[in-house]
Amino acid sequence: MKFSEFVKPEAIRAELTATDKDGVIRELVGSLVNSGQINADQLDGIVKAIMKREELGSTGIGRGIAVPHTKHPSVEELVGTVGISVEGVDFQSLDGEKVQLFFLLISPPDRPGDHLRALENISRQLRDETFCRFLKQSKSSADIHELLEEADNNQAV
Amino acid sequence: MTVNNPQGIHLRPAYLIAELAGKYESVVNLDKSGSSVDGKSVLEIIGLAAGNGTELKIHANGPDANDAVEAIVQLFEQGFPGEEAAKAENGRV
Repeated sequence: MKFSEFVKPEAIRAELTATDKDGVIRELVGSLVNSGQINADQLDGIVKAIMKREELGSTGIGRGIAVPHTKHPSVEELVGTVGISVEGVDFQSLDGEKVQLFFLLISPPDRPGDHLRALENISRQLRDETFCRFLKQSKSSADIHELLEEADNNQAV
Repeated sequence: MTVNNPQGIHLRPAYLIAELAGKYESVVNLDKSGSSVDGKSVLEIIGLAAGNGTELKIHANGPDANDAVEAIVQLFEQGFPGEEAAKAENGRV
């Protein structure tokens, strides 16, 4: 599943300002509210659900990457966003490193396949160290969007 | 071994596999129809996109290879403990 199928350019956040886990998740979900993909009255519930999922084990998967996520009945299709923290945020990752790259996913309760395919794409692209490095260096959401588009276009069909 | 989990190998099972594999000195690889990934890397494991019922092979190489394989096969056979509890708790695992 390509990035363009679940990440809208308006929801992408370069230079996240939050410095802790709760704050960064709130900032990312907030960007989905601003892009019109999530209703403002769902924000608190979604943030809470994502934080609960984090309590089961951090979604910080190492190499400065985290994939916070939840299922939520308020969405009809998988929605996601990408955020970059210049300083990095402590996310209790498997390797103990701070997280700079965030891929946040909210999926409808009965679509585990879509969630897996989004994870597959994130994994495939992020195994490319150059792609990771360029993402971390991105200064604007337009830059990030361009990188995601390039990654989409380069992937084998 | 067969993936025995309705949600497939999503992030949490991948995390459990990598965490367990990381306890062993041996190199651990998971194979899905010919493509092989590092069993200690969550990022690589989720790249398999292994849904429920997928057949995977496990290979380990090193001084504790047998123990590593045995432990990971057991994790698969148990269907990744905590999944049901996590689901009941949260609606998302």
